[in-house]
Amino acid sequence: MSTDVTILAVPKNSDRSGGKKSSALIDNVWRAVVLVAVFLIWGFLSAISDLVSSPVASFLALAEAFADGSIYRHLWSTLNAVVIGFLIAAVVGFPLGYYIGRSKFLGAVFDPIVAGAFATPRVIFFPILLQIFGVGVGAQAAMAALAAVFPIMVSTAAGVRAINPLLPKLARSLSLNPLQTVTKIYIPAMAPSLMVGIRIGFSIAFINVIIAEFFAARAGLGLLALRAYGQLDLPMMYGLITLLTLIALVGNLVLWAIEGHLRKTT
Amino acid sequence: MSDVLGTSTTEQNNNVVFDRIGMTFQTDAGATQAVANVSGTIPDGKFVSVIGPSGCGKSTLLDMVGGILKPTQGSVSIDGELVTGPRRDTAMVFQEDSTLHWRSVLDNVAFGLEIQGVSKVDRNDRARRMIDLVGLRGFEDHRPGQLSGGMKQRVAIARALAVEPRVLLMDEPFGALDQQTRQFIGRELLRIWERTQNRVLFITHDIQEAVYLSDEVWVMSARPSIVKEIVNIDLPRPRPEGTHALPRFRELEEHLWNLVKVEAEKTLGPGALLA
Amino acid sequence: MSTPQIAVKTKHLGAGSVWRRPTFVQWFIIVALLVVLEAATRTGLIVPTLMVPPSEILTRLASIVPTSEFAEDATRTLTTILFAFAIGVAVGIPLGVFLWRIPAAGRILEPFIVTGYAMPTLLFYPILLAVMGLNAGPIILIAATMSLIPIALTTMIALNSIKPILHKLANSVNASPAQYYLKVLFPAATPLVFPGIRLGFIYAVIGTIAMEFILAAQGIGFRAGLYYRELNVSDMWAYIVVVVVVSVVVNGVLTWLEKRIRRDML
Repeated sequence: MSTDVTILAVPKNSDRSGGKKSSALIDNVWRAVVLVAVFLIWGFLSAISDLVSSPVASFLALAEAFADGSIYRHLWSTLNAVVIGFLIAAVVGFPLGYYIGRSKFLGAVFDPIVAGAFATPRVIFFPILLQIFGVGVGAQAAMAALAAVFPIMVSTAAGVRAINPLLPKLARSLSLNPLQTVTKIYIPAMAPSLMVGIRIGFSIAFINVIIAEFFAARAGLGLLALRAYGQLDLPMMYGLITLLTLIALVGNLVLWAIEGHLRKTT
Repeated sequence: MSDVLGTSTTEQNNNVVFDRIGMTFQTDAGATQAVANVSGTIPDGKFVSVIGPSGCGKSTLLDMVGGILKPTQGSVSIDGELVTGPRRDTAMVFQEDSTLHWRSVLDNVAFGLEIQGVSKVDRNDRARRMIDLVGLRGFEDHRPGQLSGGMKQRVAIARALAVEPRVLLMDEPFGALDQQTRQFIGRELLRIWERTQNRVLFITHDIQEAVYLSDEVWVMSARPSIVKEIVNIDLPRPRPEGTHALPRFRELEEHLWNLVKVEAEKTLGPGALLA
Repeated sequence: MSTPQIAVKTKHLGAGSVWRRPTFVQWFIIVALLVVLEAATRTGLIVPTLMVPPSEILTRLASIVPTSEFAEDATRTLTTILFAFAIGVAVGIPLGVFLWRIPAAGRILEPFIVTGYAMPTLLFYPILLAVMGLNAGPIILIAATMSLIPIALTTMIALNSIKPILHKLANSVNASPAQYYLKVLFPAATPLVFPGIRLGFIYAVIGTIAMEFILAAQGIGFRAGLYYRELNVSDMWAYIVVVVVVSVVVNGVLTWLEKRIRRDML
């Protein structure tokens, strides 16, 4: 009724409601400015410290690795491990999280166990994975799966619990079958929190693969970075940091944008 | 100043005076005038209600008296002093639940006094009296989460009264309550007001409520709003339960309804209220 | 549709069957897992290079824990965690307040901060090592950056989700900025910020132990990695158990605290 008045009474809000397109554009321009600023600071630091190589030298080192093709083996190994591990985590984590979230009893039993596992540095189990899979992509992928599965379960269970309790009622009143209930009611209603699980799962899988590659690997960007450190190859080291940051940033931005879109539309 | 209403300077010293106030909001879509040129006076000890169509700027008016919004034109003065910000002698009650959920009822009621720097002993003492007054004795140590909506609004009213305001500003305080609670707590408010005798500016959508509670009802026009008519509610006080059934009550109610209807149709389009 | 049925039954039957009691089922799962592992390792189903019987791990643990080496490692790890968490809070909360106070900054920087979840910050370890020297400093800093991200993000989200009416109320009683922060904002935000604080602590634990595991020369995480390289499976498992127990206990305490705070403040 009087909501229009209250909105007006808080003039702060009014500049958010109008002109969404232009403000989103301005935000992206600012984000670009932040990136440029980061490179400028990097450049400045490289000028005053021997420990930092210049952005240009780093890019050249990276470009050379791409040009002579030596990096591809490592890049594919890392991305393979992340993607395979993440997919395994998703296949296991989403259904389990769903059931834990749906049932009060399963929630009471497994919530503390999942939370405890989530709180444990899973990378500590990497030696066991090495024993099982041997040094290679298999162990890294298993590491990624082990790392990502718990955050996916946690956010899926939280998503199920946050569903408007009227929706399952609606499903029953329309006598939807279980499959329809999941695909037509639960998944669309949970889409934003599923995306949170995907984003956090991807992030943690990625980080853990790099950590695992530091520990033992046949190939991978983490291993390459470790070698660069060993040879004190600063430009290559910073080049790899940039590449890994870029992968993390692009992956996150894409998932984050999808998440924001789902949040708006659902 | 406000020649129209014939108020003299001496009288203004005990009045809340609106002097041609207006409020224009700047938005991306351009300037919106919410309130235009409102003048009026709330005399000492009077209960004034403001009604009008949705979005006519009733709350804006109240916020300007409370000092949390600055008028873009004109001014408000209380007892001869210009309102430039929130004052110690005004207190506000909002439509939404504004209790602080982490504080007990007692600490909620004492909140305004605490902000003013009143000592703990004094503020608890005053808060307890206000809790008695609003009928919440025994609930001092409860949390808002344990109370019903009506009780939470009583807490908010007690908090506002605890600072002993000379002007009480109420922005649809019962708007979120169910009809029964609303009538009951309305009667309670009247009983409290008859004891405290401060000035009340009361915003409401409910014409019956306005007639029952007030000495004057101001009818605001559609945006940009002005006070279209001031209706004097000449019902005797105290007003017992049967008041609603008095023929004069019905007359006033119908008169106000007709005034509001015309304004509502301006915003919603003719015949909108019949649909 | 089994959810409501189970809930209803437990209510009506009360303590009918122990199988309906979550705590019993949890302990059953843990004990059963230990029994299965014990049997599998003793029969040779799980080879001794992968895992030794849990009973043997326990005896190793009993002889490791009283040693001064363990005390030093534990002290090192715990102080590192606490320092990292303290920095995470000291930086994360003001950062969250800043991102809330300047909504444009929050909007523009949020994707970058979210990317922090996927940032392999360990890549900066050699540089930090060169700058700070061979001490706990680099690990503290890396774990602190992991810790501050969830703290900053939840602080921002918590402050954003405070009902606007509370701002209006504080304004109407003429609260000073200090009173507004101390008496309204912080108490209102605390129960919502705490999950972020909890995550921040967990990330400090994960960051510290993971960094020790691959990079350090001291600490609980380092030992687990060391004994893997020395092919000392029983001691490696003993340290894995220590890590798991520490993480689960930390998580349990924080969850308990969170429940209390939410009960008292919501």
